[in-house]
Amino acid sequence: MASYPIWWSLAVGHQYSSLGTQPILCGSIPGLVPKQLRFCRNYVEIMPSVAEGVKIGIQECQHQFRGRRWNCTTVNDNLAIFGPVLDKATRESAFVHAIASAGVAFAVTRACAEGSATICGCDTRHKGPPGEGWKWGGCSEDVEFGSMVSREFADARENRPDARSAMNRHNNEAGRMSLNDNMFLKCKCHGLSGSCEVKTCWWSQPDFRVIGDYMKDKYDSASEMVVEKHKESRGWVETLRPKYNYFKPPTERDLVYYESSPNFCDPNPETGSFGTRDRICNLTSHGIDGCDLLCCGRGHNTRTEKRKEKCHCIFHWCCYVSCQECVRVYDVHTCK
Amino acid sequence: MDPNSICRKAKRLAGKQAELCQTQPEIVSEVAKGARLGVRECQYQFRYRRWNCTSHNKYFGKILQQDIRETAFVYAITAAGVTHAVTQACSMGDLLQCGCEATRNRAPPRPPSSSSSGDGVKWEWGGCGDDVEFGYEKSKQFMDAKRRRGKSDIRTLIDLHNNEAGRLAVKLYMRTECKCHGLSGSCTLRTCWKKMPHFREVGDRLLERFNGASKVMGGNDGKTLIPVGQNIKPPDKQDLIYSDESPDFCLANRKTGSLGTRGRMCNSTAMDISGCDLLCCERGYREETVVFEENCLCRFHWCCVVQCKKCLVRKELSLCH
Repeated sequence: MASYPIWWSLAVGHQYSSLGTQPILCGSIPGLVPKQLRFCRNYVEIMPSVAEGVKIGIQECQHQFRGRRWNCTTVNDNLAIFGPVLDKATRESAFVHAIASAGVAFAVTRACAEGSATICGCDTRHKGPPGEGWKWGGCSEDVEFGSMVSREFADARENRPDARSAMNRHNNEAGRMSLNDNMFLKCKCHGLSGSCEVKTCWWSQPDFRVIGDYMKDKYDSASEMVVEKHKESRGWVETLRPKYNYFKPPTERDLVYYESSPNFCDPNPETGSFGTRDRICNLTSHGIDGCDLLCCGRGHNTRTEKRKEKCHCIFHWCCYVSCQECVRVYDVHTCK
Repeated sequence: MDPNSICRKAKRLAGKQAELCQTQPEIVSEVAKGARLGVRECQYQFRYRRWNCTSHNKYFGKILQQDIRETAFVYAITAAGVTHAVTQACSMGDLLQCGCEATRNRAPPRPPSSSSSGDGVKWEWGGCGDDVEFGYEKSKQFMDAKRRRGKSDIRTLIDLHNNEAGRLAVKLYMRTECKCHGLSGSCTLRTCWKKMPHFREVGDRLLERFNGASKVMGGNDGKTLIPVGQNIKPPDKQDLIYSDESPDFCLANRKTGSLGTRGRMCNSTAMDISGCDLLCCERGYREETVVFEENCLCRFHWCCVVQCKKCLVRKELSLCH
C-alpha cells in the first residue's frame, strides 16, 4: 500500500548497525517522498536519531504488548516491518503510528540535549518564570524541535485526502502531544553542603516507559470512528466522525481507528497474524496473558527450566562479596 | 443404562466385569449412575467450547476412538464419576457391601478453621466419613478390567493413565468437615470426618489438567510413554495424556465425529473460546431475539402456596452461522 511507512525499515535489520559510524546516505533510505528527501539532506545530522527513535518506539510497543495475542513482532527481512497488520486501520495500527512518532520526537530531543548535533541544542526560551527558591539552569530539552522533526519528516506522506491519512495524522499528533504533556521540571540542589537553599531547574523528558504506559492507556480507550466522504473544492475528501454518539468524542490526545482487529489467535498470512503458538503464557493469570485466553482454548505445554543464579551472598570485610550458585527449577508454560 | 441392560451385554464384558455383574448388580447400577454423572459434568465443562461433549449421537463413539485430549477428559471424568457415585452410595447406605469409613487409629489432622483455637482443642474422628477407597477399588475393577498392565498397547496404557488421573482427582482432594459440640455448642470438643469434594470441583480440576495435557508417544520398548517435544515436563499421575492432535471441530465431519459449530450460541463480547470470533471460526454470527415466558414476581402465601405471575422476557442470542 502506498501509505505504508517503509522508511521504518531503517530502524530494524542490518542497516541499523551501521548508523552512527558513517553518515546516512539519504538516497539509500527506502520509501521516501521528495519532501522527506529534502528534509533528510537539510538535517542529515539528526537522521541517526530519527532511526533510533523508531527503534525505541518499536521496543516500547513490544514491551507494552508482550502479554497480548498480537505482540508487535517485526519481520526483519521485509521492508514492511510489521507485515500486513498495519494495512488495516485498526487500534493496533493506531498505537504503532503514535508510538513511532513519539519515539522519533523523543530521540531527536534527547540527541539535541546531549549535544550530538550542531543544528539544535538546549531550549533557551525558558517556558514560564522561575518559581520561588529556584532559577533556570541546566539544559532544558527542546521538545518543540523534536516534535517539528517528527511532524515534518514522519507526517510528510500523510497529506492524502483519504481516511487512513486523516487517522494517521491524528494519531501521530496524539503521540507527539503525549510527549509534551509528560515533560516535567527536574531540579538539582546545590546550596550550602548540598542543601536545597539554591536550586537549579530545567525541563526534562520522562523515561520513554512513561510515554509507553500513557499511550497504552489511550489504546485501551481508543475511539471507533466511521468514514464520511464530502465533496470539497479540491475533490472528494474523507473524514472521520465518531461511531457512537453516546460516547465521549475523542480529543486530540486520544487514539482513533475505524476497522476492527482481525483474529490474532491463528496464523493467517493475509491479515499478518502470527498466531499464538509457542508464546509463553502465565498459568495463574485471569487476564489476556493467562494460558486460557492467550492460547485461545488450545491448551498449553509445560517444560521445566533450570537457571543458575547467585544466592546466599555474604559480604566480607573488606571489601568483597562472595556468593554461592544455586540452581532454580521452574515451570515454563507455552501455548500449543 | 440400567444394570440389567449393561449386564445383558455380558458377552462384551470379560473376566472381572462379568463377575461383578453376576455377584454385585446393585454396584453396577451405581456405576451406571456415575458414568451419567461424568458425562453431565463433561457437558457442563465443555459447554462453551467448540466440541461440547454431546453424547446422544453416534458421533460420540467416533470421538472416543481417537486418542485426543477430549477423549482423555471423557475417560478421566467418567472414572471420577464412578468413584464419586459408588462412594456416595456407600455413605447413604444404599449398598450392603460398604458403609462409612472405619475410623482407624489415625492422628487427627489440623482442622480447617483452627487458626485461633490453639492446641487445647480436643479432636476425634466420628460422624460418617466417605469410604473413598471402596469407590476407588470398584471404579478400578470395572473400568480397568479388560486391560492388563504389561501386555497392553499404547492406547490402553494411555486410557489406564487417564482413568487413574480421574480417580485421583477425587481421592487426593478429600476435605475434612467438623462439627463443634462442646459446652453449649462451643468448639472445645470437635468431631471431624472426611468428605469427598463436590463433583463440580473435580470437573474444574480435570479441566485444568485438560488445558495442560501432555502429548506422549510410545517408547521403543512398547511399554513406556515419553512426552513429545523438547524439555517437556514429564506428566505425573494426575495429568492427562493423549497421543493425537484433535481434529478441526469447526466444521462437521462424519469421519472424525465433529459436529461443527453451526447454530451454537456464542457470547458476542467475550474474548475467550466462547466468544463469537473463536467459536464461530470467523464465519460470523446472526443475532436473534427470543421471547419467552417465565415466572416472575413470586409471592409466598400463608400457608403454603407460592404464586407467580408470568412475564414475557426478551433475550438477544447470538448464533453462529
